[in-house]
Amino acid sequence: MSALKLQNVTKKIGTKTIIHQLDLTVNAGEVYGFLGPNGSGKTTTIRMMVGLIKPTNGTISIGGYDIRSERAKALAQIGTIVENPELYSYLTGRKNLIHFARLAGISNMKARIEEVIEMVDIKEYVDDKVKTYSLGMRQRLGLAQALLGNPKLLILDEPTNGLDPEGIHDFRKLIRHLASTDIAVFISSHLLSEIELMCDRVAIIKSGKVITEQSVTSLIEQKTSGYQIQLKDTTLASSILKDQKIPYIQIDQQTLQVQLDEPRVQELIGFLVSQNIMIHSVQPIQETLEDQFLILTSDKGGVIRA
Amino acid sequence: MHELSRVMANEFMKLIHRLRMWFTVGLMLVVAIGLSVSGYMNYQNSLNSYSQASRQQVLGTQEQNLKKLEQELKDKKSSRKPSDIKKEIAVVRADIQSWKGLMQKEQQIRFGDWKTFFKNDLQKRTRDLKNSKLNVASAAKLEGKRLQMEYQLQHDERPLLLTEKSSYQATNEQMTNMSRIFLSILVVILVADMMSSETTHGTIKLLLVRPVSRLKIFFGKWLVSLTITLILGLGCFIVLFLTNLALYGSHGAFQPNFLGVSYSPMYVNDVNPGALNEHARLTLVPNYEHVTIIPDWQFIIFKACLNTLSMMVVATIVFLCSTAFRSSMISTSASLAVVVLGNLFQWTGFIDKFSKWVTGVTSNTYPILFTVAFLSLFSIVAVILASRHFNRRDVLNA
Repeated sequence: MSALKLQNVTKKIGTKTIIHQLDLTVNAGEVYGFLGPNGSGKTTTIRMMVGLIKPTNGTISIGGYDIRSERAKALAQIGTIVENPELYSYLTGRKNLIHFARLAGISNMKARIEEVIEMVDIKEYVDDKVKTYSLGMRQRLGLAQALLGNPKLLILDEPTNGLDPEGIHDFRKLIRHLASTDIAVFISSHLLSEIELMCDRVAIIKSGKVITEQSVTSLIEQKTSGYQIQLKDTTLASSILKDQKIPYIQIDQQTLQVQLDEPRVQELIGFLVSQNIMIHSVQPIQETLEDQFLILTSDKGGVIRA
Repeated sequence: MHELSRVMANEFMKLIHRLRMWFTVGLMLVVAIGLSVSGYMNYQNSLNSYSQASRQQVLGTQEQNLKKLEQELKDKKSSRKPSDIKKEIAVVRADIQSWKGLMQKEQQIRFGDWKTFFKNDLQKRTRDLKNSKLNVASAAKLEGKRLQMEYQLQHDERPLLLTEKSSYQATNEQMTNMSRIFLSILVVILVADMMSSETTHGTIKLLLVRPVSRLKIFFGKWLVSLTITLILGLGCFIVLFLTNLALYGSHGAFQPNFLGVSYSPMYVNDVNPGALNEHARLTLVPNYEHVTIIPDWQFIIFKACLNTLSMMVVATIVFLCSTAFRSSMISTSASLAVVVLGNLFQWTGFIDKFSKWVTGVTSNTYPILFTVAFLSLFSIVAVILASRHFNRRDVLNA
């Protein structure tokens, strides 16, 4: 059984459709990256998964329980941080944990709290008031409260925000460790580098639609060599690219970048020359995952993948 | 049920760790004790003019006046007419007479056989009541006095003199002052951000993603709001009473007090009863028809309970504001506006009915049971509607 399953999930607010027919599945033991620029619908999707927002259409099930018809059972499977870990700043870290442990209905509360304190390494300051914490310390406490109920699915929204390099390193180690104990982890981020290092699979979301879902290794393998084309003027060339639905990035007034293999680039150049477009140079470039992400989510690229 | 109690335990934990909780309690203590002490100081000041010594002094001056006037009458050289002087002498004599009468009456009540004295007085008053020449207001006043005296005779309870104010009387007066607006404001400070602070600070997201239903969170918070109001209200009245008890002493617990006096506005004519001419004036006339007489100690307990109950209705309204508005500041202002406007307008006069009914400064339009039933029904319906809304709404931006 999948840890998380979204089927045909749509959310409309007023007349605006925020999320379009989203489908995704996360399996146990998998670390799943949910990638997209700001405003692409990541947080709305997460809020629907944890029952803060009702989907207009479609179903969401967690460990086989429907989030709407079996809300309590579904939520019992989840540990989560939605956006920033907003905790009660006038309480100590420990009191915050007691607060959330009571709501999670844990049988052996005290022991479990000690366990998670150990896991995220916050023993040093857990008895201080949260208002004295740095953002990184809050993130750790946020993670601790998410782990309290022994979740089967961990949903984390931008979890490394505010963590220092050492903190990020510890965090990755912890996530990999949790995944090895068969916990499914769902991580949203707008930083590809973060996802690249932690996740098994990644979905890229843009304007409320999943535009690609694949394993991180295949994403890395796809680092097809792109080409930079220098032209006298890019206006005509870019409109041709748009017509032919070829994704590209405008680097500057004279440079366009396309993601095509060699034969197709030759074909393109031949076509551009036949249209009397002056080409200064064509250079192969080594593309990073970051570039690919930019191409996939750029507005100029037209439709990327059906 | 178990989950609800855990939600409530959480809410109490959050409440006692917040500064505003202790600020409210501190304010309540300062005001309750301050009010009692300042009331006691006023009373001490007024005691001087009631004291035996000051009365003797007044009597002495009046007697000297009399001597002077009598001498003036004998003195032929006086510029005034003898008939004028005689008139003045008569006035001073009557004054002296009434002073002596008052002092004698007090002495009689305080040290003598007050019962015989009262029985005679009662007979006189009953006779007076039958006298048709009395207007409605005076008749009602006499009737009230008569009922009170009957009770005192029946229960062998010596009436208190003006110099013997009891802690019960003081508490009764101060309770009315406290519950008008001060306690409502304390309730606003405590309850107004019960829900909205969670929305403002975003903690509502972590609260609502637990396997506890939203309804339980809602009702848990509501019940905690009611409980803290109950503790605060009763606590305030207890502090008030204990301070007064320390200041005035424990006497006067069994003095009679009226419950359910209704007042209706009537035209009263002092010169010609019943006639609606230029001497008629509009005044509130008490009606003792459905009155119950209970001892003072019961009266203040009853009053404290009803006042606290009406505070809980206020707490419910404030809690609903807290759920409706997502910003703490707006929900607090809205609650304050409701409380202040409520005091200005008649409809919360209805809400405040409990205390008004007890203090009796209103016409008897609604009986108490009807009021209790109406307010309970109103609160329950409002809370159910709000909880349904809370249960369904999307948490979009918090």
